[in-house]
Order: sequence, then structure tokens, then C-alpha cells
Amino acid sequence: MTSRDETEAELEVAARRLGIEIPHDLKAGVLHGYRGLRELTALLRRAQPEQQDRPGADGERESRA
Amino acid sequence: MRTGKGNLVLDGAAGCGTTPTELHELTVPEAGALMRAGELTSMDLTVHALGRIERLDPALHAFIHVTEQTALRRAGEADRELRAGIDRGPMHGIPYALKDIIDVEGEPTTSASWLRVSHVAQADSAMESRLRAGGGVLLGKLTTYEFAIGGPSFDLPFPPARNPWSEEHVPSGSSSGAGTAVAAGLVRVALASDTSGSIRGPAFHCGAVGLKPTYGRVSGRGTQVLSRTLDHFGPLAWTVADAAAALAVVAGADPADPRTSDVPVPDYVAESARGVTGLRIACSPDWYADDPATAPEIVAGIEAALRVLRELGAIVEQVDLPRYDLFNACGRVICAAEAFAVHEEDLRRRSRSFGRFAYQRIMPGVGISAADLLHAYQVRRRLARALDETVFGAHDVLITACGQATAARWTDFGADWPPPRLANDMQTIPFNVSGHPALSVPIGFADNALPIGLQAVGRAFGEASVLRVGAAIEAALGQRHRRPSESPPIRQETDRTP
Repeated sequence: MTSRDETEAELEVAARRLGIEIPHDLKAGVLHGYRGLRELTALLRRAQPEQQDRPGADGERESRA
Repeated sequence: MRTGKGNLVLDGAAGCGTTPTELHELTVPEAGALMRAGELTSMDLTVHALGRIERLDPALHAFIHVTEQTALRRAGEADRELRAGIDRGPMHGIPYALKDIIDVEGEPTTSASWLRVSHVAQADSAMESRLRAGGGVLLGKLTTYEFAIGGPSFDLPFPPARNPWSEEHVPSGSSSGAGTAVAAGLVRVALASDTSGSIRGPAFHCGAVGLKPTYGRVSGRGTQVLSRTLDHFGPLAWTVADAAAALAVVAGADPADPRTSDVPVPDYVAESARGVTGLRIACSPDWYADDPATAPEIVAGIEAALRVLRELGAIVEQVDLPRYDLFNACGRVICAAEAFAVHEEDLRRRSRSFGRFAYQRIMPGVGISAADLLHAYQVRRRLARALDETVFGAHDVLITACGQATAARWTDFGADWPPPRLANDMQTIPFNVSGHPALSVPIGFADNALPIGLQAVGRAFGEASVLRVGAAIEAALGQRHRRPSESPPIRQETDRTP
């Protein structure tokens, strides 16, 4: 699990790479949301069945028709 | 019939009773039948609706923009056509309103954002195009959370909509104005978007009916994108029959939106009245019954609805559902990544033009990797297949919770950090992830006198079965005669605290 400081640094790097500066007064809120997302992405990775379905094998959305 | 603006009544409900009925209490099919019989005009309905908006909306803030002249013009056209024998279908002459992320040519589409406050649409959205062609009467554009994701914010160009049932509670969102307008009787039908519950949430918390159709059932052309693979479009209405009438008009393939399908569109109005005899209903308390966050009235209400369905001849059986936390994770990750992609340029160049809630909800998507997004897409596909096999392989409709609690309080949404609970204990996102049609249906009121409901979910393109079940539950438990109080009027706000 990524530590709290590492997560904050990770967010800053991701934003800076795209030329985005997060306003100081909004940063705590964004970071809180980002930490939540990291927990969810970790959950999804753990839920993947071993190697039988590699990510990227499917299109973005299966038609319901 | 008296014709004072905003005070029209019809002698006899739907022309068949003895109690005078205010025109906003007529269902869409009832109003349509009366218009076709020459006993009511679209102009009557429209003037009545405009009068209610003028009288009640200054305190409710459901509308961002009222299109009065357009409405009066279209009402006149609808009446002339009916007199000439031209009938454009179930929404002919019926007033409706649109969430203000849906384009109408020549009218503003603001998305309730400073970033779009001066934007005027150059063409009709698919929904507006179909409603206009179907003889509908546009009343105006409805309040939304910013870009259909923010929150009940006071830092936007327009004030947030109020819950007509309570000064102290929010109407939920993001289609907040739609929930408010329909519950307050300003309009019978609104069209809106639902990416994680934005139709069903306000319907649940305002005591209305909200339908998120199957992914691809209704075109999203000409709407503000939030999350392209989770966005759905459909009606929020006072009754199931009203929702069915609107869906019948807006559903169908659109060559300009490749997400849509050419699966035939049935007669939803007729289908919704067929009853539930022989339908196979799945139920599962897995996601909500043992969760302490679920209000006991909701658990009891769902049990009562299942008893009603059994008594009416449906076959009700319990099933096991896939893990809720995986649906939730899929939806949140996909929405965050896709929403960030939509707004990236403005986040870089005009960050201060976003409201606080929208910024804080969109910006975290910056850190979602392509691999994480693809994992989420793949888990989504597995979950949708699991529902198809374990639930809809043998059942027509699944009954589950829609929300776990009544509407949140304004005080839950402070101006500063920490932010509000994002979803207010809603259990709607699984079916944005899976794409199945899902209907929020009222089942009465909690002990605090706020509305509650349940969720009926169907097979892909099985909206007709969902509407049948919804109509049966509505008739038994929906209390469609009960409206929010108009007296004393909800006071107009002067500051951000209610």
C-alpha cells in the first residue's frame, strides 16, 4: 500500500506532468478524493482473475444489444 | 373549467370523476386523452404550468431558464395540429423540461457552471429533437449540479434547487432541478442524465419516478458529457405512466451516437399497464438489509413491495448478487478517469472557474493510469455478465434498494473541507456499470416524512418489464396523491444557510 506522503507526491507528479497546478485551498479535497480512488484501483486489481483475461483485451464498452 | 393563470382545474379527474383536479395532477396519458377528446388544450396545460413556475419556483430554484415564449408558441401549434387531426404521439401538447446539460438550439446550456454560463447551443440535442418532433412543449432548463457531478453548491452562477418536502434537506443530484420541479408539480416530465444515479437519486429523495434506461436506449447527442461509457439519459417524472410516455418518444437508435442501439422500441405506455402476473422477480437483501446505514423503513418498504408483487401474481425468488464493492469501484474509477479527460483543458487553464465541489470531484482522476482504467473496464464486463447469468438468466426484474437513507441535510455540505458524502448512500451505480435499465419507484415515506423508494432493474432493453413492475408498486405504495405543501410557501433564501 502506498503511504500517505507517497500518494500526495504521486498526485502532484501526475498533475504537473499535464501542466496542472492544483489551487492550494482545493488540494486537501483533491488529495482526499485521489486516496479514495487509489484504494478502489487496488481493489479492482486484486479482483482480476490471474492471467486469463489481460487488461486491454476488451473494448471500452460492450454493446447491450 | 376555470382559467386563472396557475389555478386551472378540470371538473372530474381525467374526465371520469367528480372531484375537481388541478391540471398538474393529470398523468401524461390522461392529459393526452383529454386533449384528443377536445376537453383540454395544450395551452391550458402550459399556462397552468407557467403559472406554477412563476408562483413557486422563486423559492425552489428548480429552473435555470424558463422558455415561456417557446412554450406558448409550441402549445398553440400542438392545439392547432390536434384540431387538424395531426397527432404526434404520447407527448403531443405535453409540457416538459430539460436538465441544463441538454442542448436546445438557440437556448443557453450552462451546465450550471461559470465555464459555460454564456454558452448558447447551436443545435438541438437528440432528446430535444425527438420531443420537439413529438409535439412536446418545452418549459425550460433545469438546475443541475455543475457538469452533472459537483454538489449542491453556492459558488455557481445559479442557486441550488431546494427539496420541496423540506427546507432542511437537499433534493439530491445531479438532476436536482428535475427532482424538485416534478415533485412540486411544476412539470410532469423532465429529461435528464444518470451517470451514477443522477436521475434515480433525485427521484428517490423527492418522491418521484426516475428511469435510467439501458445503455444505448436513448441518444446522448447534444448533451454535456460526464463519463462517456457510464452516461445514460432518461425521464424523471411523477408517475410511471409519465415516464413511459417520455421514454417512448426519446428512445431509439441515433446514427450520430454510436452508443445507441436499433433494438425496436415497444409501446411503453401500453406495456406499463399490463400488470405483473407471471413475471419472475428476483430479490436480494445482500447489498442493503444488514447494513446499518439502511433505514429500517426502506427495508420494510421493499418487503411490502415484494408482498404486493406476489399477491398480484408475480413469482418472487431470492438470488445472490455479485459483490457490491466491485461495482462501486468500477463506477468510481471509470467516472473519475473519463470525467477528467473531458475537463482536462479547463482544469489546466481555468481551474478557478470551477465550483469547489466539481473541482474536487473531477481533479482526482488525473492520477488514474491507463492500466487501471482498463482493469476497471474489464471488471465491469465480468460484472455485467455475472448479472446477466445469475439474475437475468431466469428472472425478468430484480428488486433492490435505490437509496439507503432519506435526503441529506444542507448542513452535511459544508463550504469548506471535509466534503459531503458523495453518493448519499445510494445504490444506483451498479447499473450504470452494467448498463441494465433501472427504475426508482416511490414506496411511501419514512418516519421523518421524507420520501423513500426502491429500485427495479431489468434485462438489457427490458424497460417494459421494469415499467410494469414499477406501475404495480406505484399503485399499491406510491401515494401519488401526496404532494409537498405549498402553504406556507418555501421561503426564498438570502444566504447559503437554509
